[in-house]
Amino acid sequence: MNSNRFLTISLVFVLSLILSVGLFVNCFAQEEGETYRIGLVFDVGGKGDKSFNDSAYRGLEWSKNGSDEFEGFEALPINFTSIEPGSGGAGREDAMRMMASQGFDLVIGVGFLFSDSARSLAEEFSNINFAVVDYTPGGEEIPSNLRGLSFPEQQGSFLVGALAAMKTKTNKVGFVGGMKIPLIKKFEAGFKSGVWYVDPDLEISTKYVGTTGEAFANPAKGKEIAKAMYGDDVDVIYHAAGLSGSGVIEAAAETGNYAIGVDSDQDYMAPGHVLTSMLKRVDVAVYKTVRDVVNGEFEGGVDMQFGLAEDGVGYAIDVFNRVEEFPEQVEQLQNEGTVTLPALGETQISPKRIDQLPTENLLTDSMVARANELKRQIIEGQFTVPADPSNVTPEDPVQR
Amino acid sequence: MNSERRRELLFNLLLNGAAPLIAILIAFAIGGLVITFLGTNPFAFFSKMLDLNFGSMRGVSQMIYRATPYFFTAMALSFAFKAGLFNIGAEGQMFIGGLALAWVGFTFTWLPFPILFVLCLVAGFLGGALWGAIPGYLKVKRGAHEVITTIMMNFIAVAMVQYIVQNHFMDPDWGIPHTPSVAKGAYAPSLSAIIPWFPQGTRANIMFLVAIILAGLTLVLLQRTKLGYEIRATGLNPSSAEYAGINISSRTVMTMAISGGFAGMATANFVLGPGSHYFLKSEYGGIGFSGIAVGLLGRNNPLGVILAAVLFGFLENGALGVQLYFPNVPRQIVEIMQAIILITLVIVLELARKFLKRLQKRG
Repeated sequence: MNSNRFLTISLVFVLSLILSVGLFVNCFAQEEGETYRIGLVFDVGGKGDKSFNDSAYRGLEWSKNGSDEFEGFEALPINFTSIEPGSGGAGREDAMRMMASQGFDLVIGVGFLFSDSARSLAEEFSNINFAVVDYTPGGEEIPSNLRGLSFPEQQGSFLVGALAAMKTKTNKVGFVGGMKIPLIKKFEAGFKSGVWYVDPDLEISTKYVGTTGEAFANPAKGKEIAKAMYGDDVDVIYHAAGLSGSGVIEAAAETGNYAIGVDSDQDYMAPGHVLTSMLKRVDVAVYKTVRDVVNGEFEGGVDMQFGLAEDGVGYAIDVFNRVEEFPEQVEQLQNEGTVTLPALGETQISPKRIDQLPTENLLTDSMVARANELKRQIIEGQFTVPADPSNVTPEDPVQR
Repeated sequence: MNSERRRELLFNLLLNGAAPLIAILIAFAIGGLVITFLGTNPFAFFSKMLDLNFGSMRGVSQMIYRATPYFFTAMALSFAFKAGLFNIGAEGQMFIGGLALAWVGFTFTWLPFPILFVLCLVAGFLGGALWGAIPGYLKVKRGAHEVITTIMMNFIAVAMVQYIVQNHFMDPDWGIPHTPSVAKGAYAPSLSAIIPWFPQGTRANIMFLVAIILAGLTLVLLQRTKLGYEIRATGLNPSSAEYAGINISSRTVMTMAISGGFAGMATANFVLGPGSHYFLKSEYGGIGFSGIAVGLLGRNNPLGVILAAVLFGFLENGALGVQLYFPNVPRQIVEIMQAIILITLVIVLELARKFLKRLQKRG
């Protein structure tokens, strides 16, 4: 029968294909080298957010290639891969699990949303090391193969708050947060504390973009909020809103005011309108953690703090806010029409052609000197910056 | 008569069995071509995928874990299809049912294991059934086409669930919009507790077995009961079904309810299964829509739907893993392949139908 032959032929065809694929399985078995395998799973926003996620990725690039930004950051014998979970973060845990089951030496989750998953994964894969950026313990014990990477963001935010207070001419500054959660409140607390430490008479207006994770990925809403603030006489706004913050920076450029960037150095995004950026050196924390794994010194069970003293937080100084300090880059701009930004690893979307640099320092010598003095005092423990905004008042901005 | 019947069986086998297989192979071939153009050996790529899914019990487990929810949302489509209804609302029915089953799980915390677990599933079913019955009712009473209403009901469900979770159940200090955790009595045991080959803590859980049992029950319901007969008759020819005395209005609403009920249980895999035991809306988006594809690929046959769901689990789990080994191949390649499977399936079915018709003519 004709249809019988058709069935036979298609069956043979299907079976032979399945077999041939199966045979190839063994031919392409992966060869394991002497190198350490590091895996990283991104947060919502993903690679290319010019902020938090990119900073983590830069830490991996430093681990592989070394960096001359900090002393002793040499290239390490590693290979790294990263996974972006699908939209909305689905498959976050599955991605970490996949890396762990493939025998990676270190699996890093970028973002507090990974905390729960990492905790249960660390128990399941007791021979694999895990790290979570912005770890939130949730009152539970941290497994010995899991390290939390935390940043006292209030310290860095304090310094940019102080700089904002020194810069404002309208005596009004603003704060735009992403999602109203304890993590972002730390930025708010530090900023307010810094502003009022310098001048208790200043007015601070505070707004949050939203109540879900999407609040960190909504530049249009960020811009809308910032425009309203600038319209209300605010002249410096500090944002802690992830990708939404790029809307704040755009609004600053359009209205001729100042914004303060966050996490990564965002000064280049609107030259002359970004006063500085609060740096959260996720890259430093990631690099140091990778180095510990390679040197066999990885310690888990702790929520490790990367503060001012550890170069974990700080503020940006570059050609965009201290043009007089970087004559080479000014010259480069005159010759080539663009400025190279060495600190922004290769994952960064290359900055727009920058035709113009500010002609004078946005941060004056005295401002920088004062900020550095405050930094020294915090490191020495002369005062502590509160992490909860409800503990910050104009009369009593810091804890002694 | 005998040869006629044999021919019909063969016809069905070819159409429903071989056609999806050929579509899958063509999709793999096209995907392989694209991968070759990207400078990667497609055989290495696909064999890595095989290895990631079948190379260890952990891989098998993850594949099953990802496949399980697709079975439920795909059954929502397939079951409605039996009565000639096109239910595009599995996404919304899944969210309503998911919230309902989580609510039961964290509210009646004093109930012991099998009771609370079963109650959660019932709640999920009822939640989804309610959300599915509304478009059914609107169709019967107002003549609103179910494709339009189910699509619209998706948006309402997503926004409503988001609102309820954020404003009533979310822990404001924690910041992630999820419900409280369900009680231990609601946990769906891991397959490792039943089948010793699975490693400890395996995420794949008895919801997969529930899916297989439900597939069998559905077959029995459709083929061996009066209700099933009436549903099929309504689908094949509503006018003659009505003439034969079948109340097609009530059958339409009931079919939509059962269909929605399937979707309502989809998130039990995540909420009740091992891992975090709370309902987190952002983790489940899209499972309802992908279920449409899985249902079509499974040819609306419950057993076919299980196979199609496993294939989607295979592709997704593999897609996650191959990123680690072939970073220059974008993960979207797998989504492209899922789409190609569907397109080629439609074409292959049409061609096969023509081919077989020609054969029949020739006798």
